[in-house]
Amino acid sequence: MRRPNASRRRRIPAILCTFLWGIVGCMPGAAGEWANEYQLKAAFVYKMMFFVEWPAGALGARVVVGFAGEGAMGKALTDSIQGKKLGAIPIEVRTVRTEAEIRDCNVLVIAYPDASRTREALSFVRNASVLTIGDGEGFARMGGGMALVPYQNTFQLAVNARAVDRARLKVSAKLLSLAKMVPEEEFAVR
Amino acid sequence: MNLEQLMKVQFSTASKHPENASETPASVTVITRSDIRAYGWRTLAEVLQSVRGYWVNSDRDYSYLGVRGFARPGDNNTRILLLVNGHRLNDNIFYQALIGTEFPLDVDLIERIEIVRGPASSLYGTNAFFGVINVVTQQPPISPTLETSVETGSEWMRKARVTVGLPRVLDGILFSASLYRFNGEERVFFSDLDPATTNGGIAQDVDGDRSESAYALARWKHWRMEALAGSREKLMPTGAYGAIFNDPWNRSIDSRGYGELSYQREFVSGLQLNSRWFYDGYGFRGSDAFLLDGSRRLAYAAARGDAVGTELNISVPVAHRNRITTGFEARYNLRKDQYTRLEGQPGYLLDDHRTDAVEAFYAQDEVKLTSRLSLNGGVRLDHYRDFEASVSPRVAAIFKPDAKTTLKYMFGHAFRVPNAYEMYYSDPVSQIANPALRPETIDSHNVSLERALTPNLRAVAEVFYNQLDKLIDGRMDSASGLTQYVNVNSVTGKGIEAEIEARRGGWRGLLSYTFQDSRSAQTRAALVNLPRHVAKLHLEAPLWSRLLTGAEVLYESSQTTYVGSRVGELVKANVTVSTRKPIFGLDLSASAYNLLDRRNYDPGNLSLPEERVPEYGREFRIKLTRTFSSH
Repeated sequence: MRRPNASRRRRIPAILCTFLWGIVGCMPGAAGEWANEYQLKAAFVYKMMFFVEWPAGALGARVVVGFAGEGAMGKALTDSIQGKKLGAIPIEVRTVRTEAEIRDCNVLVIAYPDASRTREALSFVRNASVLTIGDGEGFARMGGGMALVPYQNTFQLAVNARAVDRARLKVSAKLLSLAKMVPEEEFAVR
Repeated sequence: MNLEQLMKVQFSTASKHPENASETPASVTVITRSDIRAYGWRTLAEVLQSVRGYWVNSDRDYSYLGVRGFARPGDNNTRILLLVNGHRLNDNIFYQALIGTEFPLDVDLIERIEIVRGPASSLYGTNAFFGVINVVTQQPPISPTLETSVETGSEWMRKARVTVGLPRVLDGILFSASLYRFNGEERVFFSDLDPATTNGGIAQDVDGDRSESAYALARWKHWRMEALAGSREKLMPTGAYGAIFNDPWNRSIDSRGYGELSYQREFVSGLQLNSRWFYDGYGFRGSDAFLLDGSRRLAYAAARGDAVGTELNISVPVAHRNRITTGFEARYNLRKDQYTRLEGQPGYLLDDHRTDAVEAFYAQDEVKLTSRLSLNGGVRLDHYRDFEASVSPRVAAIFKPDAKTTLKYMFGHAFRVPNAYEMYYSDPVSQIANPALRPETIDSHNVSLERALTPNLRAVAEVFYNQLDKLIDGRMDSASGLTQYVNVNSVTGKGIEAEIEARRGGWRGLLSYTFQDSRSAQTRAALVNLPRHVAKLHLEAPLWSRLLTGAEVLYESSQTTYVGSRVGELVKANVTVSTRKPIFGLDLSASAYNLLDRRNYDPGNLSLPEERVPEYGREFRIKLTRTFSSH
């Protein structure tokens, strides 16, 4: 049964709250530069490649950046870095789905929402010269090479030294000085 | 722009990062597939029993969850919303969350479980009263895989599962089927029964359990098709509902299934689109043997529910700092039927048919006020055909002064509409209907502080305060002696929780403690069925290089039963040893449950003749899993 008085009593604070929320939501943002998350991540992937040295013969006529995962990251990578160059070598972005395709990359960006497939993809390139990049510190802990870790609206870097060593990749001291070193979990990649 | 400059660029709120539970406007625990494996948990109930603040009682028919200082005797978990991949699993007649062997998904198929404490009606509507449990299933693997698993254990438990994952069919399919059989305890002794009339209080060979379940998932581009079906039959050794004790025809069968088609898409701009269309089915069949006029006769109870519905959800980042989510949900209950009949008697004692519908709209805004402070506000409007509209607001503030600390304040208002069983079920021996029942509501305040004390040590402290109004509860009708569900007085509940977790190498330790107190707002009497102290200890340790030990100790202080007697404190230690890597292609796991063989009891409920129900003694299980993969 409707109780008009009670409902009116509740309506006033509700209207007040909505009004206040509107003011808060429209207040100007914090100063500084803003970017779209995926475009920013794609820019990181591109930049990080310049701080890594692959073993001789690992890179062919093209640097293959594979995207294994779900969501919009694959599209952002294609839009941002397809056709750019790493030194003199052109970059090719591919969406990779099978084990063979995953093994055939130089850089592997992993964005599965579940740990099972992330571990599976990492296991395919465990001893290969592939730079693996993923989201969050947990990615590096489970055997990923480098991770983008969100912190206060920015991305910070995390590196699993054991994983990049296993991949025989040389990471420049400059990048290592900016990154947090993350230990690998025992039996991380099964 | 160089790397250092990139690290200063702020990104507008886009995707949800799965590992960032600290940014969720709620108190969240995530249980992973590796946890389930390490501790040898056999059912969802065992998983939840390990989680801070949760405890589980069983009457050897269903498992009942308690959380946030609240567990009404035999309340069928109607105040917890259970989801599988975001799909509502509470049925449409009892609103029951099935969490024991009746949970229709094999726990081996679980990728992770997101356990959210506190009300969430602002997103999910009814039943999201004390919390939401979202079970996320495995996805089709990257390589074609066939996995078979067999297990056996005490009381001649045996289980088999086969799972096939084919990533190249469409964009991946996964199919799994499981079979479970359990003879149950040969003799269950109920000490509170009159030995003269109940076979000395011993229920013999009437504790069996069997279930079958299947799950299928297919993905194609942005589309997903998912189907889940399971059926569980349990013999009831307790003689519930006034049935003849120790009769093998006292049993219940629950069947639950759904089919869903969904479309999910995310754009580089951060726009996310989710929509789903679904069918839900639920069936219950029960039989109970009664002594009527000196002769044994069977009473049959049945319920059948069918529902269809749709949900559309759009989430969009606005002006860098806002993420606005809006959604619409409609659910049409095509059938909510309940029947009861007596063997040898024409016609039905109860033949109740209902239909109803709910349409809901919700909106939520997540604002990053500064890099350290964010606000989250949301509201949902539910329109029911039979009840006045429910408005469910929620507000949360998340403050992260540094990388190690998160402080959250959360307020939420939630509701639960009475179910068809509470409103319309009636029969001459157990219950009177009450069509005048109204929705119950809760206002909840929650403050939590989480801090990484060192890189390997994490601590959480939490305080909650709940105010429940128009609580729906079963009461004995003094005139008839039968149960009737009524809106009773208000209840206030409060509690504190603490948790500390340490990791080093392959070692992990987790200790949690909850103190809780809930009382009637009018009489100040403490609620029954409630352990004031709940504590849990978990330890994972590598054993040589190839094995992992997972051990847990669960503690609940004594509880008062609904008749006023006491059930002693519960202490249970479980240990599992499992392989970390396959040995000769086999994954092996061996578990001992209630290792100390302690006699633990759970408080009874209104439908039982017993004041307390014994839990299982020491049990063992051994499990073998063989995975065939193309790599």
